[in-house]
Amino acid sequence: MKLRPVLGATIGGAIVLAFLPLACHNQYLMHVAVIAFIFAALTASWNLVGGYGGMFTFGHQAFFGLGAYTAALLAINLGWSPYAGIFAGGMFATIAGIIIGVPVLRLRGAPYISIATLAFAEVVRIIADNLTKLTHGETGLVGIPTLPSFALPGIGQVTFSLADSRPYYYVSLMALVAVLVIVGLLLSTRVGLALGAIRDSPEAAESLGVALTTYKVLIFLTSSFIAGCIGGLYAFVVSVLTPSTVLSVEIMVQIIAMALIGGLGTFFGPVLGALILTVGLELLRAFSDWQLVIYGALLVVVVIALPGGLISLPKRITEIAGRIVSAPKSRPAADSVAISNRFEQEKP
Amino acid sequence: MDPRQALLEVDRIDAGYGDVQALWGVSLDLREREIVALLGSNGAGKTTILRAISGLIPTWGGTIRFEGQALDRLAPSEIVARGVVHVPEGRHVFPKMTVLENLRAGAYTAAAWRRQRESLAEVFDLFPRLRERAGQYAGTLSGGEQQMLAIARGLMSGPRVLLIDEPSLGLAPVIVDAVYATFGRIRELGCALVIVEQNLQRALAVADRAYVVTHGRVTMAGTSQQVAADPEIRQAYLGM
Amino acid sequence: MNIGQLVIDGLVAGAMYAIMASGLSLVWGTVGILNFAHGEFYMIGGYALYFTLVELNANPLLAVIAAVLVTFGIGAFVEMGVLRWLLNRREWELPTLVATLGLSVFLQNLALRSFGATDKSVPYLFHSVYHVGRVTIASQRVAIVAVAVIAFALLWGAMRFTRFGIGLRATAQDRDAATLMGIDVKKIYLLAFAISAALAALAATMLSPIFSINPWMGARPLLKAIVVVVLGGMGSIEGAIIGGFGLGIIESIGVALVSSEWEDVIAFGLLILTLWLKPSGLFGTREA
Repeated sequence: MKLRPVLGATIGGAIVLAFLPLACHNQYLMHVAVIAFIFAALTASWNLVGGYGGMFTFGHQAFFGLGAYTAALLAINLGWSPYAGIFAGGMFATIAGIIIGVPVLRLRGAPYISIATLAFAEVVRIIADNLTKLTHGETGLVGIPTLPSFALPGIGQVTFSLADSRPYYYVSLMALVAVLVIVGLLLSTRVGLALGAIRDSPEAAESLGVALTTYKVLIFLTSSFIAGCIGGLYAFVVSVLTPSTVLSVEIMVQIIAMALIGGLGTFFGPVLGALILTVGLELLRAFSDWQLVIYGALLVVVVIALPGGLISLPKRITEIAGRIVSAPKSRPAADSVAISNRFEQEKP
Repeated sequence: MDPRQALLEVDRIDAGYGDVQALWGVSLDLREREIVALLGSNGAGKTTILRAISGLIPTWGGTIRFEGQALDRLAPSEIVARGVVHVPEGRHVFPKMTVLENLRAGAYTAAAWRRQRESLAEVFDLFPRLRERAGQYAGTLSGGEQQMLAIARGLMSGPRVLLIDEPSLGLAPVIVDAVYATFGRIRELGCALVIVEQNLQRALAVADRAYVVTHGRVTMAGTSQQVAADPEIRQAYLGM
Repeated sequence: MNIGQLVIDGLVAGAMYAIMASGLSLVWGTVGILNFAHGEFYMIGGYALYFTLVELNANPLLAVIAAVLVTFGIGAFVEMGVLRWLLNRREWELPTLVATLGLSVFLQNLALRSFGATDKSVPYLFHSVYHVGRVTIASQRVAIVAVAVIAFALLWGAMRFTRFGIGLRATAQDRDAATLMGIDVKKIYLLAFAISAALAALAATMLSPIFSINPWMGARPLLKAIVVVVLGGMGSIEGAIIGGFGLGIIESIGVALVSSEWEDVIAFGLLILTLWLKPSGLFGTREA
């Protein structure tokens, strides 16, 4: 992954998106975009671990929710500034990441990490549910203050309120850009190379002296920190928190759907997936009952027909076109195997 | 010209893994009650040929016929039902099943399942040691016993052709003797053999004919005596 | 604390955990995937029972059988329609995980759309109550344990003695060698998956009278089944059975000590502990 073009595309895209509120004054659309940007950032942080890192964790919502509650509670009970709270949320999420990461990240084999992280996230959710004195459980943690207003030269006072989504739009857009920049920078270093090796062949990577677990933990904690910060931001955007909105498995399912439909393990896949699914979900509000039915079906279809996600669509189309055009020999397709794929690892 | 019918005919097959070709125009045949050896060094393609015959990998070109009928488009389970069985390299016994259960697994196809008892009797006759160990978990057997089990398991479906991949691999010479001693008796029971071997001398001692495979192509074919006497072979493999 | 009652209650819950888990383990051990939609087969079994028993007023025994068979069929359909496309790929682990996840969401919400969110209830199949010493147990619950035991006996017998059972165990231990025996691995996968769905439905038919029927009823059984499978060892049916009963009893006693809100935390805590200390579980066949 080449850093400069990717960063360039990110900044370029952000600049384009920055003009949107100037052109369109639809508050509803702004709000949808805010949620989309937040989820894009969240998905990008998971993509670091699940896509690039090959560790299919299933408990990312725990970090998101912990960050949200931490930031909210610090602001409400101790009067902390939201931005400090967001940072604290990230740190708290990182600590949680250490607690679950250390025992679990050395596990190999896809379902084990998934199950362990899922269990962890559920424990966090149950705890949040049961500590009603602190979190108010399902009744909801209300009274979360908005982000502090500030003055911008040339524009004047910028206040955050429920009336105007535009400041939130820009803040969340900047957060998304920040996350993408961090991810991009991380991937362009030695860490990124190690990740590629780990994902494609853990055994080979290990024999080359790559300290597997160390890199896994590093990636995991970075992604947890980011998720926690995003959660903190989310708290100040929605102003009400319940365990089932920020700590539920549904969030994880959405993350996976966005990452996969966009393109797992690609840089812009998460963003594409988040944008499409968030906007799509809103468009489907007419069929509100069918939303999730379509979601689930889409997940299955994409995984079968378009495993690389929507980002791989151009490549896939040219691939299929190429196969139709060139004379088909009796050679089977490169990625399907007649009966056994295990024999292929043995010598011929 | 040998008047016996060709039981198994492999005619100019190409095959490979994924995008990588491993066999080019390989031809060989096997007649009734014959023992044919496939020789060659590591990675030459011998196992690939067996896998193409048993249906584990598809052929890209050429045909494979057994008793005159095409084999190359059939599923492995159908190939076994027709009477061609592949005993894979490395034994691959089912470790958490007993010797008896392994043998029963070998008789999985419908017709074979019905005549389990007779097959078991034949197989225990050939390999008495397996009868002694019938209740033992296959994972705890010695290498030689596992090899015998693998071969016995292959025989359970009453095949007419048995493809055996590297029967001597990792076994002590004495054990290999015992294993090879059964090949003649298997032939007598009406089953022809294709044996893939890196150990040239062993293979040529028991086989009627041999093919030498190099880099995915058949580079020599003839009777065992012819192949054994060939100066290139003698130099390459026997160091003479 | 009435230990006898706690143990009995634990055994009853455990029986159901064990049935759910053995289905999950069957598929994990044979096909090699963790079926996230397993809970939805439980749910389908529940609704199928509701429709045959309540709407169609069928005889309870027939209703149970119908529910199990319908779910068996749906399981087979899912395997053929979805999983089969993915299992032959070089990279099959993640896609199949995601596919079952997508299926789970799809089925849950399809049920929501079709049947609505309100709970449906199914009458108890057995009505008497027994008292033995200090222990009280409803005959419905006795039936649960009895059904579980019979199911396990049948499963065990099938695995040991039938052609299919041997084929399935062979496939689970060495898929490629099994292919060379003439075992049609595709059919084995299909049957394993359908049987696991049927097992989930069986659990649902027994439990639906006690808990209610709604689109999300499969979520907790799935999570519990996952915990049991990890405890007992993935791929091991004996492990699923022992782990199931074990978890049931541990939970029952644990909840009496702590409180019911923390019931799931006990299960999840055990899961994380097991994965940390002994990932292969008690009788595991697959390496972590």
